[in-house]
Formats: sequence, C-alpha cells, structure tokens
Amino acid sequence: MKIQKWGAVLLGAALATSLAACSGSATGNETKSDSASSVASHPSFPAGSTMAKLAKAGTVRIGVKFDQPPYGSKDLSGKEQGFDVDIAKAIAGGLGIAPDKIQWVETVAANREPFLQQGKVDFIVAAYGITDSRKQVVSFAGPYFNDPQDLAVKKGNPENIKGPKDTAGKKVCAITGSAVAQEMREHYPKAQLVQFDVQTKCAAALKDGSVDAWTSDTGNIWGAMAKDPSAFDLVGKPFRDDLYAVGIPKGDTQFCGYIEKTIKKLESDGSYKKAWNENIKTLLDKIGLKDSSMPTPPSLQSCTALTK
Amino acid sequence: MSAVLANLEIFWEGFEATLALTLLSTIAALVLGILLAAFRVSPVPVLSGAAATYVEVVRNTPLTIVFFFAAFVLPQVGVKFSYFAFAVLAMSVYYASFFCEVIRSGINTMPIGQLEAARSIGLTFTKSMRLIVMPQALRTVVPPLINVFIQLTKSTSIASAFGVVELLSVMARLANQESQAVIAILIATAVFYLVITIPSGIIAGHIERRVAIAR
Amino acid sequence: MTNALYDALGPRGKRKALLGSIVSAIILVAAAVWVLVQLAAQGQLDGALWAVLVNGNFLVLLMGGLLGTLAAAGMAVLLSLLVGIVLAMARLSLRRWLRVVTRWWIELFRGMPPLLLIFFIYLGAPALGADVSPYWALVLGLMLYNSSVMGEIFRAGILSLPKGQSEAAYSIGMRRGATMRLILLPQAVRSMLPALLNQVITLLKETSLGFIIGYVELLRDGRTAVEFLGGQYSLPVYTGIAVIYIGMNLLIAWLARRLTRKRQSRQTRPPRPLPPRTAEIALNERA
Repeated sequence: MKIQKWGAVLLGAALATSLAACSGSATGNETKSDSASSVASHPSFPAGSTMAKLAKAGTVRIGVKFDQPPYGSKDLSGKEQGFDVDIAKAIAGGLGIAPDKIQWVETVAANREPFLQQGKVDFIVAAYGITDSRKQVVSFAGPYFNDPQDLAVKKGNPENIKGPKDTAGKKVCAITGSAVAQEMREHYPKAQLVQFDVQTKCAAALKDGSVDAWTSDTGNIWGAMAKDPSAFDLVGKPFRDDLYAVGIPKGDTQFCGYIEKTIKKLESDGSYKKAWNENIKTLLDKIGLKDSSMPTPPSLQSCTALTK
Repeated sequence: MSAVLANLEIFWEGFEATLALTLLSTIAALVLGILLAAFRVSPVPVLSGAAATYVEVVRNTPLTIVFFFAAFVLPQVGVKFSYFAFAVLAMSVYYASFFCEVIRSGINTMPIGQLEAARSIGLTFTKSMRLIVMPQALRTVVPPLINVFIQLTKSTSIASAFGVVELLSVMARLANQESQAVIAILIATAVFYLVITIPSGIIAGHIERRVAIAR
Repeated sequence: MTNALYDALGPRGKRKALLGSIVSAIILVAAAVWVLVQLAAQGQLDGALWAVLVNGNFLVLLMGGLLGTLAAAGMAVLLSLLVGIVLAMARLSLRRWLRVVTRWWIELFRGMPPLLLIFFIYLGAPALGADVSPYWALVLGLMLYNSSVMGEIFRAGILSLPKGQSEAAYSIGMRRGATMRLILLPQAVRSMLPALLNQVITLLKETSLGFIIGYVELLRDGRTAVEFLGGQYSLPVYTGIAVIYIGMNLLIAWLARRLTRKRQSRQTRPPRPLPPRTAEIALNERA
C-alpha cells in the first residue's frame, strides 16, 4: 500500500512541474496595469520599525478576501484582484515590495484577529470594518473606504421593501457571523435572518425566491447586480456605515502612521480614484446606476490614540 | 472565558439546532438506508443497479456539494422547503448511503441457515426481509452504525454554510463579535460537540461488548 | 450469501422481476427528465455557463487545487496509518494504564470536529514555540482525528483474527511485540482493507476543511471561482468538482480491489485433505 501512496505523491509532483510550465503561458491575458502601486526603489524607514523590517525582508504577508469581489477575489488564473487588493499593493509598494513578491493569505471572520495577534499576517486589507470590540485586540490604520449596509430585493420589489424597517416578518439573507448580520439582530430583530457563508449564495437565494431580501455592504450588492443585471434591485436606503480600514497588530503606531501617509498620497495623486474606477465604477456602469461618482474618502482616524 | 458564559444562551440555541438536525437526519437516513440495502440485495436488477449507483455516487461526493444541490438546485426545480429542511434532506440522502453499506455488510455476515430456513417455510423476499433479515442484521451492526452517527453529528457543521443556525455558525458569529476571546469560543464549541459524540462512543463500546458475549 | 434470500427465479418470478425492472426504470427516467427540463427552463443548462468547464484558466485553477488536496491527503493518510497502528497496539497492550490512556485519547480526538482540531493546531503551536505552516496544521489536524479512527479499525481487525495465530506465534518463542509486528498486523490490515479505504476516501474529502487556515485546495478553489464568475456558474462548477472527487475515489477503490485480489492469489492453497479416520487408525492411535 505504501508504494501506491508514494506513487501518488510522485505523480502529483510530476503534474505540478508540467502544470507550472503550462501556466506560465496561460496567465498574462488579464494583467490590469497595476494601478495604485508604484514600487519605491530604496525606501528608508526608522530603524526597528515594522516598515524597515518588511522592506528588508523583501516580502510581506497580506490578509485579504479570496471570494468577495469587488474588494478581494481571485480570478480564474489565481491572481488576486479588487479594490482592497489595489490599496494593499500600494502599501507594499511604498515598502519597496513588488506585487509579485506579496504573499496573499486568506482571512475569514474566525481567523482575522488571531492571525494578526500571532503574526501570521503583517496587515489585513479585507473589507475589515472598524468596531470597538475589534479595537481591543488589533489596531486600525485608516479608514480608507466607507461601504454602508443596504438591502437588495428581487427585481420589481415584489415584497415592497422600502427600507430596513420593512423587513419585519420577512426572510433576510446575510453572511454568517458578519457585522451586517449583527446589525439586523440588534436593530431589526423582527426580520427572519437566513445566513450563508458567501455572497453568491445570498444572491442565488434571493433570485429563486427562498428569501425576500439580502442585506450586505453596498459594494457586494453592486457586484452581484453587475453579474446578473436583470435580477435585483437596490433598495437604496443605506442604514449603517461600515468603515473599512487596514488591520495591523495592536499598538503599532509607527506602522499606522506610514499606512495613513500612503493612503493620503493615494487620495491626492489620483491612484485612489483609479483603483475605485477599475474595481467599482465598472460595476456601476454595468448596472446603469445614474449616480456613479466616487464618494469622498472618509477622514482618517488618529494614529496616536492607538496604544491603550 | 467570560465571553463564553455571557453568550451561553446563544451557544445553547446552536446546540439545540445541531441536536435536532442530528437526530432528524439520523432517523431519515436510517430508514432510507434500510430501504436502499433492501433494494441492493433484491432480485429486481434495475432496483439493485440503481441503488448501487446511488451509493457509489453519493458516498464519493463531498457533503458540501450534496448540500449545494439540495439548497440551491432543488428550489430551481420547484421544491421549496425551509433551509433547515434542506439540510435534513441533504444529510439524510448522504448518510443513507453509508448506513446502506453498513447494513449490507450485516446482511452478508448473517448465518446462511437463517435465510435458508426463511425460504424453506415459504417466506417471500419482502417478508423474509421484514421479519427475519433486517431485525437481525441491524442488531449486529449497531457499533458501526453508531460510528456513522458520530460522523453525522460532526458534519452538521456544514449546514452553517447553507442557511442553518447551528453550533458552527454560532461560533463564527461570536468569534466575530468577541474578538478577544476567540480561542475560548473555539474550545466551548468543541466541548458542545464532544457532549454528543463521547457518550455515543461509550454507548457503542457497551453495545459492542454485549453483542460479543451474545455471540 | 445474499443469493439465499430468494430461490432462482422461475418463469413467474422472472416475469415479476422484469415488470418490476421496467416500472422502476420508467419512474427513474421520468424523474430525471423532469428535473432536466425544469433546470433548462431556468437557464441552468445554458452552454455558455457550462463552457467554463473547458476554460483553460479554470482547469489550471482546479488542477492547482487538486494538487493541494492530494498533497495534504497523501501525507495525512500516511501519518494516520502509522499513528493508527501505534494506537491500536497501545490499546491492546498488557499494561492497563496504557490501555486506559489510549482509550481516552481515541475517544477525545474521534469526537472533536476536525475543523476545530486544525484551527487549534494552527493557532496553538506558536504558543508552544513552534511555527506551523497551513499545510502541516491541516495534515496534523487530520492525522490526530483519523489516526484514532484507523486505530480502532486496526484493533477490530486484530481482534477478529483466529486465536490460533497468536498462540502459534507464542509457541515458537515469539514475544508479544514480534507477534504483533510479523503475524497479526499484516493479516489485520488485509482483512480491514475496505474499512481503511473508506477512511482514506473520507480523508480526501476532509482536506476541504483547510479553508479555515487559508489552505488552498480543490473545493475552495471551486468556490472562489464561483464568487469571481457569478452565482449562475455554481451548477456547472460544483458538478465538475463532484465528478473529479467521484473519479478520484472510484480510482482509489479500484486500486484497493486490485490489491486485495493480488493478495488473495498469493495465499497458499489449502492443504490436501487427510485420509479418513477409520476404526483401524483410531485403534492404532490409542497405542
């Protein structure tokens, strides 16, 4: 039996090498020009700071989402793309680390704080909303984007849901364990919450009528609408702000300062707008929403108040 | 630790759902499994072939994909249940194949004399199944059946990805909320699962010993 | 064995069986057709959607995931088998404390959801000073669980062997360890092969639990692809993945059957029957 097992491992190794040769030619058809990332050539940082360590190492581990377009998703050739990904690439670029030297790690609800606390990732850019409870264990640099929570309904709004108060007694879909779900539980407890692990399942449940509404941060709803334009309507009454920020290990004020400086630079030199256009405006154009102008980026929170 | 105690009610709700899902699915899967085993050994070739194909296909597919077909393909075909019902359906359909194989091995290890005696007093296939074969086969395979039950219990966690609030979704929600106590929440979740699985394992051990003596 | 359930069918029996076959076949085919028609009406069978299965990039993504699955499963199977054997021997030890401790170890790890075991190892190891990669956390987590299950399978196999085997081994002077190693274990493995294979197949599917620590494998890659492409692609993608898993598992089962057949043919032929014990021989034996 052992021979069979070694045979399988060797076969796997052979497959791997042959596929590596193949995939070299397969990729290269979807390279967006790396918008918000110009790689600094020889950046210098205060000795001992996180930035100096990372720049010296030449590689960085960034926690992102793998399955949440338009923020972080993997295309079919395995490349990371999305709004969060572009911001992350810019932060890494400022450290002198090119996009292909970045190690992308998938962060989900249960592993975000433990990964930061244990140093399994250097920072997280993954639709990571600032909450007081999270601030007790990790620190946030930013925020860099506000994506308010809203509702999606089936095209034509058959249940006549005009806002979150109308969800009483209706089945509403949300992602398991998310802050979005928590909001429904706390403020709209009369809604029947149905939870899934990914956005497409909520969209599918809404489409086939198993749920009456889907609540999520607006960007996710736009993403689903862009892929299936005639299926959904956006209710358009956002009811909870969700400030996305970069998650960093607790108390690292210097790193926070560097990241916020990078974000400010992106916002002023047009790279932020470019990232927004490439990832989010394209969705809005597909959907045909009238107002597709970029919202003003939220004001950055102070870094000095981090160590508590 | 205090995070766990403060949320004990939520844990309990999830535990109840897990328990309900486990018990309902076990009963349905057992019934379906007995039926499948009977088909498998029946003289009607289409039935035994269909049952064999069913078992091979379902057993070798990940449960997640069975769940996907239940919760997202069935509504397309017009079947509209609640997501809890879909979960029970998916788990029953999946574990019926395991129960079928266990029962079939029980049938195969039965002393031939039993079957010959049944034939010699003129019992038809269905009658001998119902009165002689199944009762004895089921009794001899109780320990493996309980093993399958333990696996079923733990795989109820997959329902959390398909609209059912049970232990794992409670864990995900609390881990997101109580960012300081993630490890404590994980341990509490494990304990709740162990509450179901360890007693089952002990019962299986007892039954194993009793059946061994009887033989 | 199961043939004893019903006599060879006479003409009436054959007719009944044929009727039963035709009726069940009609029911099954009708149900299948109805399902397909409904799916087509919902646009789920569009060629454009199913074309993703022949998309080069998609296949490369799946292959990468498949390799991840096989790499983790292969190592986990190897380690589970080895540790399982150790656990089985400990459970059968002559020392009581070892038996009891092993029993509780097995009950504990068999009852825990593997998902949590994997996560604990990934996060717990640094607390003890070791840094674990997602691959090793997944492999060790799966091993802790499956070695307990396999240990019980080995133990059942050893206990089901005829006592004569171990008695013969002791009578030629073998100690307990050697008996286990050279006589009992090989036979136990052979007889428990189907149950062990079931575990291997289960292990293969359990590699999908690596998602919680970011391990890239087949099922997760499929889900990522669906999120990227859109929900309409879930049916083709998941059907494709199901086919891959079924194919892999059937391959493993087939390999196992060939292995048992080879082993069986290597067994020695039964000895020639002894001459009957006539009264003459019996009388001579007395003397």
